Amino acid sequence: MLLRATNVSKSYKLGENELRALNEVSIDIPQQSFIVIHGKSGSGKSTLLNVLSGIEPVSSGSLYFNDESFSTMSERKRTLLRRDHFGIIFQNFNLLPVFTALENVCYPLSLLGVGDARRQGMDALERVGLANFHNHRPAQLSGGQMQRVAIARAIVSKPDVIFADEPTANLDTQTSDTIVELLAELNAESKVTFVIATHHDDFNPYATERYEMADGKMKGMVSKEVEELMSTERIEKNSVLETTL
Amino acid sequence: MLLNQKMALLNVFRNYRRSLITLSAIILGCTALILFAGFINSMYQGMRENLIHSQLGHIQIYAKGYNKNSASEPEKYLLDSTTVSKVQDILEADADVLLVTERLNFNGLISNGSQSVAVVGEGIVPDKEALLSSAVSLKQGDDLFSDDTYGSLVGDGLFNGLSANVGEYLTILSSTADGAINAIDVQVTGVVSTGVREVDARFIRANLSLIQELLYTDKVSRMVVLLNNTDDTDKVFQKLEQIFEEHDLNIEMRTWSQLAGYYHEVVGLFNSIFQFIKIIVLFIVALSIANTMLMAVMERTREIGTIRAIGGTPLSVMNLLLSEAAIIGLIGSTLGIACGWFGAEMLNHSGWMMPTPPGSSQSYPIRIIIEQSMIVETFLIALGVAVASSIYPAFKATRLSVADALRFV
Repeated sequence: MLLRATNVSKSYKLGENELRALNEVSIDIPQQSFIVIHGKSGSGKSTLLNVLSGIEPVSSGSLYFNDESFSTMSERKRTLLRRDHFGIIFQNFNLLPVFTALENVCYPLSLLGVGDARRQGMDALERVGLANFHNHRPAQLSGGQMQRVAIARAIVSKPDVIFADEPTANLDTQTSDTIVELLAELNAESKVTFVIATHHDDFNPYATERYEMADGKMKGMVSKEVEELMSTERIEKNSVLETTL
Repeated sequence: MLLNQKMALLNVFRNYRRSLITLSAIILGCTALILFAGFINSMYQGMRENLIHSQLGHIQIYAKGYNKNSASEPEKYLLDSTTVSKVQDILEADADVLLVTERLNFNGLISNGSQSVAVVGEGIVPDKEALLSSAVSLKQGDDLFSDDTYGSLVGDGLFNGLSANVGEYLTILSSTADGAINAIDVQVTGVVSTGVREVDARFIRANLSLIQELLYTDKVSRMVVLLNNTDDTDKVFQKLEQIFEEHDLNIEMRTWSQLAGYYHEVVGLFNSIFQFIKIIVLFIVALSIANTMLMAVMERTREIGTIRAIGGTPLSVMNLLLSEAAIIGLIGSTLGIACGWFGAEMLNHSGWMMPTPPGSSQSYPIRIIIEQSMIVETFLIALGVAVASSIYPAFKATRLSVADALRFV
């Protein structure tokens, strides 16, 4: 298993009260999968993404990446884990405003100390269809273009897992569809694993596994195979019904 | 990590108004430090060269024991003519030495017939002394020459005290080397000022031969050496010490610095004042930079969170913020030094006269002398303060929780 969370909980102190954002959540993320974590706002999906990507430490439970525990890792080691193995796409794009699109994409490579960052950065921008915009600063790009740059930044270092937190939340429907398709294509092409937290249904057709979250708990999981099976059974039932009638 | 440095540079110009205010603080600080350092440096140099060229020379040579015992028995510690001649031969062969001259000091009374005043005088070789004592300015009358057998130069304070006139004869009374009382008449050839009021009130100079006649001796109190360059003093002193030892000469030497106690006291006082002002200026600069960096950290919390989320270590965040501070420090100190240099040039050409300093009898034009060491020191200090004052804001940035920083609005 590429990534595994076992009975993970995460609590925050709010004054004297404790808010339990994640409650004994377990999840297995296989390699090359396209995981969609679905849930309403406040369900805990973003917290789960933060915990899985090592951005936040867990309060209890265990996390494994390639069967190696990282739930008790120091902040610095988790940072290096993110740098070396994870890519992150944010809802608000979070591009560095002083940089051009290309520099934004190259930045993770510079953190890795990659020498030929420019060529790889251009390749990544080309892959998301923004090679011609490499000299544009974020302020000169549309929301969809900014999210494409953010995707290029996430894929440029060829990570094992890309975490995307509401990647289409701030986009219009048309742009949102192209971003969904782009992420699905990248998953199919490069075999990179995607873990996407969203409250939309746009990603469902591409999900290898879909999780439902509510109140910090995992409510259920539907794998693509099961969904296809259920869909086939529904068709057969309908056929039998039609024949009977 | 070149992109980090580029981001730092771009961030400096991002909020240009705030950067400009911070830069102004550094520029003003550096300019003030450069101008003040240049001003006191010119004071030190002026005082030093005035002392050297009015009284002390660069090196003085005496008979052994003179400095310890001359106050009580000066006549026993005089340089004889043989020693003087040997020393003169050695010094004249040295390329670093511009000239060497002899002086014979005496204490006595000077009288105009109705009034007597205590004097501290010296017999000099006028031709050589004219070059050595270039800081002694002639106020009235003529300079003293070797053929003015009975001529004398009188300090303006003494001249006014005696209500004397140029050309008038005065009588000097002193004790000879043997302890007898002797008197000579001298004619006032000129009135001079050494720049030090206390000296001018009791100062008289006459031809060496005349003073030797007064003291009934053919010896001299000291030989005064003038070098081509003040900075060579210690080097020449050590060299001469070795040569004199090899020639087995029974003499001792003092540099101008060893003789100028008052100079060192003034330098010490001004250095303390300068250090105090420097601390205040640098403290203001440090506060300004720390404030800017704290604001930058607060404003860019989410960006810092993003950098950390995509794999930037606390060290790379610190590196980013310290680079920004270093860039501000670099630009600020460079411009500050340039402004200081420009200000110094303007002041040096302004002809602005400074008020007469305490104890002095002359005012002087303001002069700012900037040395390379001052520029390097100011540059490094400003840069160091810029970086040091950003350590706390940068440290604070590294301690931000990544998740909280990403949520920051």
